[in-house]
Amino acid sequence: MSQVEDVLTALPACVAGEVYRLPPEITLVDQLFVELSGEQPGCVALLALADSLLSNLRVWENLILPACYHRHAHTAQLESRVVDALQLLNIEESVRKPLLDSLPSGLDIQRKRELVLARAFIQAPHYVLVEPLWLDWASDLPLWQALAAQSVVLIVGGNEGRPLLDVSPLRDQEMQDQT
Amino acid sequence: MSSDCARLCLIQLLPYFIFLMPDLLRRPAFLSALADLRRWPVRRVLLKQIYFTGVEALLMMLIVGFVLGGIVVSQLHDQYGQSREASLRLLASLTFSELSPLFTALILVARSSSAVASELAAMKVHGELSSLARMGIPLASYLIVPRLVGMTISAAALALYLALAALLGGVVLSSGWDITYQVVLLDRIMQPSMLIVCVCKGALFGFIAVVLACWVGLSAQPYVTEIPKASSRAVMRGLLAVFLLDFGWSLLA
Repeated sequence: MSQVEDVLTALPACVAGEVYRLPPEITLVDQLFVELSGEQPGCVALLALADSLLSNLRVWENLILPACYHRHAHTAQLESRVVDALQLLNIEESVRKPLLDSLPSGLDIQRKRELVLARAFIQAPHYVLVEPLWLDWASDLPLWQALAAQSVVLIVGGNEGRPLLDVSPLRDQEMQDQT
Repeated sequence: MSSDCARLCLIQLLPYFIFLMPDLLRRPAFLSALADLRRWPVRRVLLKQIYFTGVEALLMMLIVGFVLGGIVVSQLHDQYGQSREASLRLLASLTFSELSPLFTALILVARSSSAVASELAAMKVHGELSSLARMGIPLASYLIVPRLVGMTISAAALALYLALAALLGGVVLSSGWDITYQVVLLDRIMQPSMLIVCVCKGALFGFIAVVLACWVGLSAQPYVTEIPKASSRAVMRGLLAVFLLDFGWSLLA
């Protein structure tokens, strides 16, 4: 079996709120993303430092784009998730409306990253694929903790989390057979 | 002979279609991208495109059409000694079949093709295309198809408006503000086939212009200096394609 198949076999045994480590293969993330998105579009969010907001959409349009495109929620649910995300980012109520109506080009990098994280939170994915550098930046944020609590977090490389292939049911079966 | 020339022109244009976004040329992918117009974010992009290309350019098109109609009628009547009725007849025939779709395409290429190409090139430079892919949103569905459909619809509608405005300009110039007789005359001048040709040609030219703009924008290198180049390339290639297509159409017709 290929490594992607190994990972796909192991994923159903993963628990939301837990952090798992993927083998540091460069192509694995892309393949995994395609496979998971193919099975259930929008069930996976990929967080990387290179991610950005779309400059021709207002912030609120950016925030709801993936959830709305993949039809994951109704408008009322989306509104409530947006409010939750902004609260978790400690954005004051007076600033929210101007922020949501603004274009991303006027925002600083820190704010853009927070909003990318908010976008993933609003998408409410089942799996979150994240690169270690992103995790270093986001791990202390309440919004990240809320996202990590509701999803299976898969870190690409690094030292954090439990190695995913260790939780593979096939691996468990093999171990049982050996014993 | 003429149909051979037309075929040659169309053959010259073929590479543009063949190399353009292979996704769109594959039937299932294209159909699924079209079906994605049901999704709200995609429909929003479509409506924005129609607004920016069609609605915002409408006033300018009406003014251009009105002035164009006046110029053509004054030339035919004053310079070439045509009667007012004959001038209007010629104006209608010329505008609906030729001038209106061509002028519409020229204005759209200058105005919207450059905007589409530079917008897509800028998105590529800033990594936004990768971000879309990472959200599981296909570029063809979200970026290309709404622009293709929006600009094609806008071009068809604008060509028709421009032709009608030109006719109005011609009528006003040939008879002053008492246009009762000319309005009655329009019933005899206008034919459904003229309207159909005008709309089809406008749509075709708009489609080609936006296809090239998308292609140029998406194939730009990811450097900031490529954005204005993409914009300029979209205009030049759009103009060339529109003139070649119009030439081919004339030969075939």
